Amino acid sequence: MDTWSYLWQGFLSVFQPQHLLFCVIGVVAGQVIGALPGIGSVSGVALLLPLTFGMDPESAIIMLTGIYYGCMYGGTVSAVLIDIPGDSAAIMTGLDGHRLALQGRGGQALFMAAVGSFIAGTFGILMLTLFAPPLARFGLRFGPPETAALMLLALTSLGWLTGESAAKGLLSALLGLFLAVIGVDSVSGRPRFTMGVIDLMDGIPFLPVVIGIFGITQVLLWLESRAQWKVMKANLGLRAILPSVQEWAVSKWAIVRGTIIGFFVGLMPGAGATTASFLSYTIERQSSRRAHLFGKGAIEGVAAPESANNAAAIAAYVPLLSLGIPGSATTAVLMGGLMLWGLRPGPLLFRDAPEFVWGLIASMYVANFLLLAVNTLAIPPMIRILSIPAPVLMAIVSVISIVGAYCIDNSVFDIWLALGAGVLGYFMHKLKIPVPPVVLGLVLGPDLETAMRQSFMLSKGSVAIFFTRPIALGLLIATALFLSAPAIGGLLRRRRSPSRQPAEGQG
Amino acid sequence: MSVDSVLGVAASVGGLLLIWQGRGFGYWVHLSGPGPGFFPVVLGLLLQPVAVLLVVGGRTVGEKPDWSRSGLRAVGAGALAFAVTIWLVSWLGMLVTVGLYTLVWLRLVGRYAWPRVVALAAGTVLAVYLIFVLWLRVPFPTGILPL
Amino acid sequence: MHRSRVLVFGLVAAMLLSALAAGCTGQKKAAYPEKPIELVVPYAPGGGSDVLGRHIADIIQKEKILPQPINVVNKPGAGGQVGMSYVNTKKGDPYVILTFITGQVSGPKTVPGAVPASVFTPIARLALDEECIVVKIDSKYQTIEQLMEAAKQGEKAVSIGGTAVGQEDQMVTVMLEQASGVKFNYIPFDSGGEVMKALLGGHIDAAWANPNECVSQVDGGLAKVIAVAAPQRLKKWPDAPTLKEKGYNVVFEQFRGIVGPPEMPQEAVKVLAEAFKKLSESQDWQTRYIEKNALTSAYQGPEEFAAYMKEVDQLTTELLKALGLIK
Repeated sequence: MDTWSYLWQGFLSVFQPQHLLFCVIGVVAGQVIGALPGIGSVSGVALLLPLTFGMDPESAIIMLTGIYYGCMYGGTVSAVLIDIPGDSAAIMTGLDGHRLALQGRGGQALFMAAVGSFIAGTFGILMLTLFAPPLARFGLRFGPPETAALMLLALTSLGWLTGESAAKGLLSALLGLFLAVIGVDSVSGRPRFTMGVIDLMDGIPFLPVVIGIFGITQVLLWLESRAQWKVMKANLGLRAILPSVQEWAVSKWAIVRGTIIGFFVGLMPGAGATTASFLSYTIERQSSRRAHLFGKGAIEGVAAPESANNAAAIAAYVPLLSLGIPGSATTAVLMGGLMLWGLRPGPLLFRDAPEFVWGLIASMYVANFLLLAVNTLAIPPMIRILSIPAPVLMAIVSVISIVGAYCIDNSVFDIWLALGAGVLGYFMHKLKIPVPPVVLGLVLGPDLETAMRQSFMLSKGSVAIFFTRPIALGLLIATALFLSAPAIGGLLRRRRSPSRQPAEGQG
Repeated sequence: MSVDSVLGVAASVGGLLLIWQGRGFGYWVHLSGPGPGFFPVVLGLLLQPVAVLLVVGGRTVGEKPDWSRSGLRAVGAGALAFAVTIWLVSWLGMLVTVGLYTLVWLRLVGRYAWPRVVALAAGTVLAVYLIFVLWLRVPFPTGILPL
Repeated sequence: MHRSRVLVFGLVAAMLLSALAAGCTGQKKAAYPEKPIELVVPYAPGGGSDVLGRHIADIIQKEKILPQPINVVNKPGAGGQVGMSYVNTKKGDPYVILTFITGQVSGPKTVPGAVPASVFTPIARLALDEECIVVKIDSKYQTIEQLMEAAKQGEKAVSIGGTAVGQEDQMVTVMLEQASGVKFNYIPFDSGGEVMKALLGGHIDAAWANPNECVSQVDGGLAKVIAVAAPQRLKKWPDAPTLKEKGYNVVFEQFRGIVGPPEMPQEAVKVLAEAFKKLSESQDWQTRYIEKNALTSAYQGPEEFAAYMKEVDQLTTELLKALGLIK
């Protein structure tokens, strides 16, 4: 049988009524859990995994795929509506998404995110269906030097995110990188800055920090200002949430670029979806004629990272299915789940259990489609969150922050960390230090350091390893361009359109 | 001195501490390149120009954050409430603590009438119970109560 | 609004009542275990210990080995220390048990203030995970002789990847170095998956892997096992020689077992050890857990397991000293 007939068999399996039902349950459960602040795809899948115990393998994997997908979509909702990203991959979505929500265009932001995710997801699954083995071989070419160079590229693009003062943006990023250093050094085994606290040995986990710095900070800032939500009463009809022609026009290419960047970055090891969303956002901002709108409610700033993180999440399946190596933390959890049924993802699975692999791939198409439906139809009721009175909403945010921080690792220490991050976030807001760089430094820092030091170990201390490998060299050149671009770009912009400056102040 | 200048000086001192500590960790290892101290030292070095930029920028901008006494008091109280809550989680269990937090918050901050406060708090506890305990089987700390 | 409020109150009242009721029936004196047992997995979901824990819970329930279910709780962090210190606080509690591996014996030695393995009550050893040397299928080192020959060419001439520092993979590297006199270029990665990825990409020359970390790549024709650090050849790959038969006295296994908190009551230990024995003999366990993960089934009861842990303790202390991680 060839690919298509296998895939056809897979679809037949998914469209059995009970399988379809499990897919729907998985999708909705994932969406709900993923939308809780801080509980993104990794902990969402880990928490929901036990629901599938006791099912037959086929139903279970179909439901797991639904959960995986639902969690990915869900993270966007909390980022846009209450500015608390569901996970690190949704941080960039929240930057512009929440601004749009405050301008009464939250529906449009969510709609665009759903469409972008759908297109990116479909592209990703098609690539997975057709070209998984060669793509996996491409991903393997990324060894430690390439990973280090990629992380460096992602980090240097931090410069684009700095907001008002470049120095403060850099300070924030360096703070994040410092936090990433805390814990036992993964290369030498030496504890660094742990102050003898055992809970800090594994380093500072970023999910509690995300919960604290977005959720608890928000509660503290609200306590100070006691502002009411200044949301324009949005019309809740389905038609009223459709993006305008102009919004489609600016988002079209953002989705395409986000999809492609996301998919290829996602093939590489490391912090796939986060790096992908981050790079696509900065590239979008750099190439946009409306760069001044970014961070103030540009819809393409939602479309690009959302497409990218979904494409990357699918790309993580490529090494899982064709090599038996999980491509991300979430797929690692999924793999553990599959092994409970004695199913070991990898090259042999295509031979030994093709009906299972193709059922899985077919269920991805179906889950993707279901989520587009759920996410567009559910936007009107979801927007209602914004009309909850502020004191009640803030109480809910506090409770979810506490419970969510605990759930990640069943650890009370993590709630303390979230509170610490919340207080830090408050002061950063007051001192006008941008928050995203600190989180991204924390997310990317450990991978950067480990990959860089592994490279040096491979080369026995010689720097040459970064310059003799074409991909690593290419990425380093891109990094250098990125680093010098702000200066060049700044000069160009100043010469080209001095008249644009006032518009920036208004947004 | 403006706030930014203070921030700059703090960043510089923090960076110097990092360099000092990092050198102690081991900066370069023969035949394997950067040691555990390499990254901290580099971070410390990078902090120095940033600190200079902050101090220089702070001299010209000199903008003060909009801190008010009452606002700060509210934030302090909020942070303290979080701390007490987290401390109580191990003592009273997650569900009871979350319920208490919501009660106190809605009464003191929201200034709602008692019936509404109790109903909302009970609803919150129930929702947390249904989602996290019944559905997701999260092993919450139970504390001294059997909940 | 009013109706829903009544409903909410009703539900809360019902919950309280049922909790009370549960508390009352618990008073009756019954045989251990009379309530569910918490199985703490001190590593993240999806890892080897988690897979062990989930299989235990699943099979014990399906085969009705114990009258009460076992609930798996993940408490990951600090190389198992977070979960270990949690169980350490449950002194004498017969309803908390912990998955235990070699790394939990050696790990605490390098961390000041950590909970050592010796405080826990051994219940049962269940399986052994062997250490294999794996190369890429088209590697220039097709046999262990070729690899060792290349390693003799100079310090760190051959790179060998493994999971983490100060853990099993690095310890067995040191054993092989001591037995052969060569120095490998040991490269630590964060997970077994990353090691395999680096190996298949040709970024490292060889890798240490447990059978379950490399089985799908080896059986899938992407990689090859060239030696095992086991006492005899593995049933799974009988062509791969042991290091011992090649003249290197290197035997190192990672054990997987179950321990209880300090001062766990003897009768609970007895009941559980018996239950794990039944588990380990069950067909489902042997095919679904042992075979699929390419493990060696190796049950030991409480006394034998305690003695075995002491041996592991001594061996790992020596190896960590050789690594310079402890004095």
